[in-house]
Amino acid sequence: MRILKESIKVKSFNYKEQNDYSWSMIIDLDRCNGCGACVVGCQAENNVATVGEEEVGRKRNMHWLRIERYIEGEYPDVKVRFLPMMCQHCASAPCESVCPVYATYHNPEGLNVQVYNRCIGTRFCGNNCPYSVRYFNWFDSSFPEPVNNQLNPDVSVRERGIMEKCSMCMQRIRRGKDTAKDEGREVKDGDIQPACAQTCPTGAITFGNINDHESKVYKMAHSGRAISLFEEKGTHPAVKYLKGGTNDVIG
Amino acid sequence: MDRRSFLKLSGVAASAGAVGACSRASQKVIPFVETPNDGANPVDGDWYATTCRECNAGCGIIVRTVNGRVKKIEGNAMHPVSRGKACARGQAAAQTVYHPERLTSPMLKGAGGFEAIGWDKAVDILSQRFTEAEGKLFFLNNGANDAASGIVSAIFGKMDGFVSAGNQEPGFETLRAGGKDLASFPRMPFPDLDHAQFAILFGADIFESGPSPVFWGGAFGECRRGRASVRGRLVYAGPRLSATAAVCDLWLPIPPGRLGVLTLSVAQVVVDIIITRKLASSIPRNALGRWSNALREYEPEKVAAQLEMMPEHIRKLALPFVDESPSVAIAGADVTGHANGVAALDAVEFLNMLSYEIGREKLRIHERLTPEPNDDLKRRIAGALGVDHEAQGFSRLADLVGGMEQGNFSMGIIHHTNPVFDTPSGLKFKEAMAKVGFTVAVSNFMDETAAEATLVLPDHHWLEAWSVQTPDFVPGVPVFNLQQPVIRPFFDTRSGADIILAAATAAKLKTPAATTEAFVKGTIKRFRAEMHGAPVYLDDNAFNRHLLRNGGWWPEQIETEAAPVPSGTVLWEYRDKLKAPEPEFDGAENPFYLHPFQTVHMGRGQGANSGWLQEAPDPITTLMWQFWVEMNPATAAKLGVVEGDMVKISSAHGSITAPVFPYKGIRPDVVAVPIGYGHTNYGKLANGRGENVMTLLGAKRDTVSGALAWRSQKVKVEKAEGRTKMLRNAHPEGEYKGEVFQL
Amino acid sequence: MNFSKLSPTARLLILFLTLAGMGGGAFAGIVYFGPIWLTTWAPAQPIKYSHKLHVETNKIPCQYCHTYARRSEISSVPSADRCANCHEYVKPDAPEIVKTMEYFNEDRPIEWVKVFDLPDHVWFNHKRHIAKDVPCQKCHGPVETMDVVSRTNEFPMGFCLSCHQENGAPTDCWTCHT
Repeated sequence: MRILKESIKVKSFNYKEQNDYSWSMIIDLDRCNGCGACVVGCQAENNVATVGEEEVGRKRNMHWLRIERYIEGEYPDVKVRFLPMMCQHCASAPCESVCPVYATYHNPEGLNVQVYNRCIGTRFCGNNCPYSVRYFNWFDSSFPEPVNNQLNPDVSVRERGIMEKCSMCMQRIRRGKDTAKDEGREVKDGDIQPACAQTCPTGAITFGNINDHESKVYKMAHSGRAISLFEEKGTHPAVKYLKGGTNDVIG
Repeated sequence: MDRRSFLKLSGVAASAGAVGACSRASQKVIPFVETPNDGANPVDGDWYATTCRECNAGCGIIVRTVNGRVKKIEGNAMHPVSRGKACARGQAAAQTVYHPERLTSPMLKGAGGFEAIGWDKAVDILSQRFTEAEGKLFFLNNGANDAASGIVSAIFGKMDGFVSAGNQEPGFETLRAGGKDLASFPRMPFPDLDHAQFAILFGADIFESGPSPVFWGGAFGECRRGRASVRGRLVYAGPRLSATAAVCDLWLPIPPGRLGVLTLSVAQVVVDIIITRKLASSIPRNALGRWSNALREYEPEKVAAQLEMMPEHIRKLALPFVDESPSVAIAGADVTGHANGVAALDAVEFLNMLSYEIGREKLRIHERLTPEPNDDLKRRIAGALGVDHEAQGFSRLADLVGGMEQGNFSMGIIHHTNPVFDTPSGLKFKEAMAKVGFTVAVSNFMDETAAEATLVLPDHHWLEAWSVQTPDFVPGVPVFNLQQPVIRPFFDTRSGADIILAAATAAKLKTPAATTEAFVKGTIKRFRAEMHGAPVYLDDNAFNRHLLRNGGWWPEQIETEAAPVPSGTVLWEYRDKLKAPEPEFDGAENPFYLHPFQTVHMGRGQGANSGWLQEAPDPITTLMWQFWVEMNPATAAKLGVVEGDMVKISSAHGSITAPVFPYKGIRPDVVAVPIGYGHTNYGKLANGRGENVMTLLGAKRDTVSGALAWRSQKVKVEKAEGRTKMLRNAHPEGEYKGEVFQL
Repeated sequence: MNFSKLSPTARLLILFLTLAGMGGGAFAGIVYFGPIWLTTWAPAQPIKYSHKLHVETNKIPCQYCHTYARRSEISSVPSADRCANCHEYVKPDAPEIVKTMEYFNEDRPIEWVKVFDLPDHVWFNHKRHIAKDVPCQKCHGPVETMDVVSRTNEFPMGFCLSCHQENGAPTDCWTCHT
């Protein structure tokens, strides 16, 4: 047990100290209004396929980002809450250890990587993910002519039989670093925005480098409202949530 | 995927390999004929600024194009409406451009249905009809003052018998009419949610039915957590706990049509507090006394019973409205949806006026009682376009339908709107349309209205076309939006306005310009002459470049102070208006209130043919690809139905069947049905998905403004045969609750 | 195992399976290492353009035509107006030039056949490599000596990776695969 704990510690904090960047995402639950702009924005950016009514009925929809909805209480004291859920990019990710072909691993910048051309589709990672955020391609994705004209050239179209998931818009991170390199500087806070963060009307999603102690995400992650989901499982997610508040007007 | 192909193919005969490898040979590299010389980088992607036309909110957007194809839509960070954000419907437009069901050839209805004809023939037919019509024609669009409406007005506007009307989103007209009598000038209410500490939403489903869900989303974010020390608090009053209500701190399930009573009751308490605490010195004391007397009958004790609330709860609602100033009251769908809507809106505006007067000394909140600058601007732009600014109301539409029935028109042009589908069956638009000899539908898709038309003209997608536009709802600054093509037209379509211009020229009518693009440029010029606030330091070319680069023009400093607003006068004699009339209902003998509502994805039904939008889960039910009716679990139990059971909802006008979704956040006497489902002729993805709630509605109207009262219908609900599997988004419901929401 | 004890059918089956396995293996090798026989892939192009003439003889730098290489992910094939720029004056009567100008005058793009290609799951950025002064020939071979461009490199992953390792370039999977 002791050894296990040590290994988690090493794995989860090494990259933070040794690398310039450690990407993190903060989601303010007090701001999220469940409008689903991020869901469609993500789909547009990352060539995520739609599966159609029948396959949705088999729970095979592929949204990399979904909004979970909780209804609490009884009429008339009902509360509805929203929670955007995507790959948490765990520092010690349960999915990584079960992949037989190293198609999923942790990269030096703190992201959980899915390498499509390595994946052989065992689906072990999906089963081992406590957040259920890995999606399996049951079919070749359907982008018939002329719909394929919209496909983002920066992201590969996944074929049948492999796993896919949120990449924190790796193509945008890469482009952001590329631009910074051209200008001979480090990436500035706010330079890089994943599709969901860019489109979120209420500004609930913030993305940045948590190694930079001046960054918004660093400050928000240390604001006291920040929590990680399933903290007790020791996954050390890079995605953190800011708790919602309630202060009732009446009673 | 070479490795995977290997696994898949190793069992197959080797000869197939050669075929696979050879397929590489067919790949082509197709360069430009001429390099774009504006410093563009079309292979990595270029961003063009334009205006989203999925609804009339007028969000500024930027569009990423790669090699002449639309890839992604984002909000324009400089734009005061969108503030760099976009909604799901705006995002989905990137896919709609390449929709396989887009119309590509003009079609004329003959004996055997539609027949594809050439563009030349379409122009010929149209010009012949223009000559024969002699001005006896109508033009109907979605209520936008854009280039097409300007062109049509310029050609036909002066002819006797020409009528222009707008099939606007329900509710906007009432919003515009409300609060008019409070001040000495017309205005559209604009509550400043951004800077409010406390807000009461009177049935305002601002994230679903807008106007502009994106703008309101940003305002809500700022209000809630935009300031370091203040967490904005919101209360929602209305019969259904909508997605907007879900983010509020408290939900008050008020009976339908009684929000005016609640507003005046809160106002009564607020006025009393003002008098006893001697607040708001700017209000004449005698005015306060008169209001206090007029509001006596709305004391919490007297109205609590009909609101189904405790009197002290109303007082507790009024207290933070004074203490946590700045506070705002926002009216929305559940106010504008009833026949007493304008009266209730007057009350809400009265409450806002009180709030402003209370907070006036200490707060930087925008001028509460000023004419909406965009109302003025809209009139100016309407002037520059030469269109009838008042043409957008439901009254005008109802008059138009009356005229169609009486045979006043020999032809009509229906431009990007689908009234056969989205107007209430009580209006009988489809029947009236059949009485018009020749109807032209300008559309991107075959829809219910185009199917009824005689001639269908496939238009460019708005991402491929020129136009101008003004936001329907605006954040206190004048905004002039330019819509520019970001790609070359992908299909063989023509701009509908261009075809109308060509046909009018052939019919020897006077036309304002040769093309839409020329008309847009002319409009910009005329607008500049009209608009005093426009930057005079830029010459015409520089201003055009500014418009192209920014997707429109608005004052650079987005502060209310910068907006050119004349100060107005508050009419302190405002007293007779402090009334909340009894709501009237169509089919009052029926037991249930019908609550049609817009969802964040479907709009009025335009979103139904988009795979992205159909598969995006609804916020409240998380249903995908599916139609439903919401009712309280107690009601469902009484009817003997569970989730997925079909029920039949009927009124005097029609009936629909829908699967039940029991939802705790709705009053037991209300059934809620989403708008935008039940298409019969809108493509593969939309057809037959649910039923159209509009078939249940009569054309009941607001008693003051004449706007459609779209929530004043009562219905019967009974159990029907059959069951459906409800396609909810799968997630381990409830598992994270303890962690996330503990305080 | 004693083969002589097996029935003729079983022996035949084993023989067949062995052959099938070998065939499959060979096929796998082809798929994995690329179609080796195609490394001399030199398709006929719509215009008989000679890199040798332009680059070696006339000393025109690569990036005079492939303009986006230094500022974009894609190097880009020149648009026809780039050809017209010079050839309006240089040898306007040569038959291939006449053909090129026809394309330009008719506003028709020239559909070149792709010689070098990467699969969909590989992302490559020309700009970054040009900025590091990697010569074009390192990947594309001695194009300047060719009259007809032929594929000299199949870009197996090892080719990219060995260079990245030698030069300390990033070797994280997501550098190239998304």
